[in-house]
Amino acid sequence: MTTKTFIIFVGIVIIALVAVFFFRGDSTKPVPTDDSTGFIVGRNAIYVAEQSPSRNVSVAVARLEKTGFVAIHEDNAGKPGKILGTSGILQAGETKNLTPITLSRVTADGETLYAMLHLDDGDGVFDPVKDKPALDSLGGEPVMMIFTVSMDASEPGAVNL
Amino acid sequence: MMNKTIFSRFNIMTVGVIIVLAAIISIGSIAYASHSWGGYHWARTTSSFTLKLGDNVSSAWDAYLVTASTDWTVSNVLDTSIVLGVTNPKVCRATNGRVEVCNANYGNNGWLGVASIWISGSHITKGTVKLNDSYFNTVKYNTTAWKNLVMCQEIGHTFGLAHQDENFSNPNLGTCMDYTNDPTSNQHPNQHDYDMLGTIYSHLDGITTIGATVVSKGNHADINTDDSSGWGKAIKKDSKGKTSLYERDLGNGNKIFTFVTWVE
Repeated sequence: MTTKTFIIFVGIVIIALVAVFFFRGDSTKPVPTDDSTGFIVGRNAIYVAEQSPSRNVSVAVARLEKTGFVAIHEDNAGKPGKILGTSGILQAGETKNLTPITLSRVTADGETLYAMLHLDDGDGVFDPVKDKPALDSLGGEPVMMIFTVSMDASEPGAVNL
Repeated sequence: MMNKTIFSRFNIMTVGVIIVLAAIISIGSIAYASHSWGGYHWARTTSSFTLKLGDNVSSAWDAYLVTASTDWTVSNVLDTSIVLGVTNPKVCRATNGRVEVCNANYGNNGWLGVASIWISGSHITKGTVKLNDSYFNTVKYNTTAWKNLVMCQEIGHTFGLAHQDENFSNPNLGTCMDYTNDPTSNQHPNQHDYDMLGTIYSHLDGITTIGATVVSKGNHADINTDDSSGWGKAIKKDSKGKTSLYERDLGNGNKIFTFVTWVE
């Protein structure tokens, strides 16, 4: 092989690598780098579909700016009340189809519940006092999904934000 | 002389490895260009089909629903028609065989829009689109561009399309299936979306999951199969023992399946 041929082949490989770098996008980092985002407002989001009465809650999508948890609150006069259950520690970024969260009681038909995002204080263990709610960048309110429990609920197979 | 010695070590085998590596990398790039959502698709027995979009949106959203419906109908493989919605927008419960499109104040949950699909194997059986007015009622998002973008994308998801790109900060791709911070040039589908739909729906299925039960609304005339005598034979019952699925054989391998949700 001549020097010229070798250089051409190396050039092809380099060009291919550069092309991959540019065209592959940033799929490994779906979390936006700032608070001005597209369909996600800020860097925290959660979606929970209507649930059937059960001792579990299925969270379809949770997106966190840093490690954290999902806490399921019962309703207290139109606001989040007592915590009925929490997820395990969740990594920063988007997690789909979380392991169902086990609650301290069975939910009732017609009940309203709240799935709230909490950010871990660094110890990896949920503490409702130390692990503050993730705040919505637009309004500064806790990021939470208000959902209902119904005998007629039919959870979707897949969800996309 | 020294270079000649070094390079003489690169025999044909080495060159072959380099070419194969380059080919693998190239194939990887092509594969990424696919934005099918998990291979999910509506089952149908014809090369093109019409999907009903249930209008559960308020008047403030009607124009955006029409725009999205018109945009996606440009596709060679599918048409959309806007029909009367049959769900409470706040709950936005799905209806077999179609897509319900809803808007409401869903709260500060971090999302502008969400699409859900129900699947049987790889077949989509029903879908919903929710548009979150808790954010769209703010100055930042209450714009034509944002509303077009989100409406277009969420409906696109219900056909089986994923995002073309999920980087908010890179240049827009000129499609609503692209995440962005600036919706200006991402309000409609692009040719790559239509091509992707062509690929997703390039085959035929033995059944259809697209519902035929439709109620017409305004000037959105559509099939009205409210007459149950045209539904064909009962093939499935719900948990309460009522028939929930009918099959009508049209001949030549074509069938219409009518999904029924009974009022209590």
